[in-house]
Amino acid sequence: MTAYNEEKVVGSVIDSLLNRGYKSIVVVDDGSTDGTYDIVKKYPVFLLRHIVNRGKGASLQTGTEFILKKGFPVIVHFDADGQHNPDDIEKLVEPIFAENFDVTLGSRFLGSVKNLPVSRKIVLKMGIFFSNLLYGVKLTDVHNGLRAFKAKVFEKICFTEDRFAYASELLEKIVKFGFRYKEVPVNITYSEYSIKKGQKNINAINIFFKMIKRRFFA
Amino acid sequence: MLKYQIFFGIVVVLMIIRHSALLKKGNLKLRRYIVFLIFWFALLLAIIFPEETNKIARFFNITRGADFFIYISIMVIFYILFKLFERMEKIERDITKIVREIALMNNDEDKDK
Repeated sequence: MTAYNEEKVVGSVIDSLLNRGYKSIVVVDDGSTDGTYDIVKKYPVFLLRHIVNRGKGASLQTGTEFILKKGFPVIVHFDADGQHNPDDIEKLVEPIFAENFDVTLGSRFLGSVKNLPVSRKIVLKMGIFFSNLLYGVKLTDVHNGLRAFKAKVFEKICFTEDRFAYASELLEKIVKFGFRYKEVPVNITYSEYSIKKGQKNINAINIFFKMIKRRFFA
Repeated sequence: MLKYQIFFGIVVVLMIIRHSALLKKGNLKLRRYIVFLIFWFALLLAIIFPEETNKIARFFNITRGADFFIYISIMVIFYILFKLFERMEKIERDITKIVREIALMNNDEDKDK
């Protein structure tokens, strides 16, 4: 879990995970300037801190390197802003153990999504269209932060995109290395808070150019 | 000599002096200094002998020497921009590496306590 200035919700998100019995929770505080670090510190979780903000991709890579050192077999990405449902974790992890998938990607459009603004929906759908076109896949959701992996996947995949473009990089590398992946329906609930905190629609342009650059010029 | 020639001529000479001072202080690499020097001297010649630039321009089928210099300037500016972006991205990547290393190291230290 990565957190940047999430003092309002991070505690309740960790609580919801602990209440479901998840003990190995890794939180990367991405240079928060509010009380996020102090709040997370009180919980029985692994806490890593970026001294300055480096972005979601960079934070996930830091967390991943820590997890690989620890030797956990499976990694689940979970947002700290409260829009993910902890009940979905089991649904994501199950195909990894039962069906030997390497990666499971949460799809809000296969599952349910509440309070999704129209503008965000348009941007997401465009992102899905271009990603499918560029990477030759048929996904229903591409920038959903809820996903699970066999940890060994990250022996090959390393995030070099520090910011939100990491999600496209991830997809590109899943395809490139031929990992077995599956989409799993998940439930996302947007709140006024998570919309405000999440990535801006305008950032999609930046991500689009990075996708083009990575696909054709990298 | 026209007013603009005097003004731009002084600016170019000042820039050459400034770059020379930077080189002397060790804040500018010799290779980069030579590139700057060639650029400033070319500009100085173009300012003193503007008619001569027309000849060069016509060689490239451009009517006026001033237009030729504008095209060249735009190309140079874009090249510099590209190099700056490239360098900035590298610095960003390096900062991330350092921040990550500190985060992982601090966690190890916390564990040792």
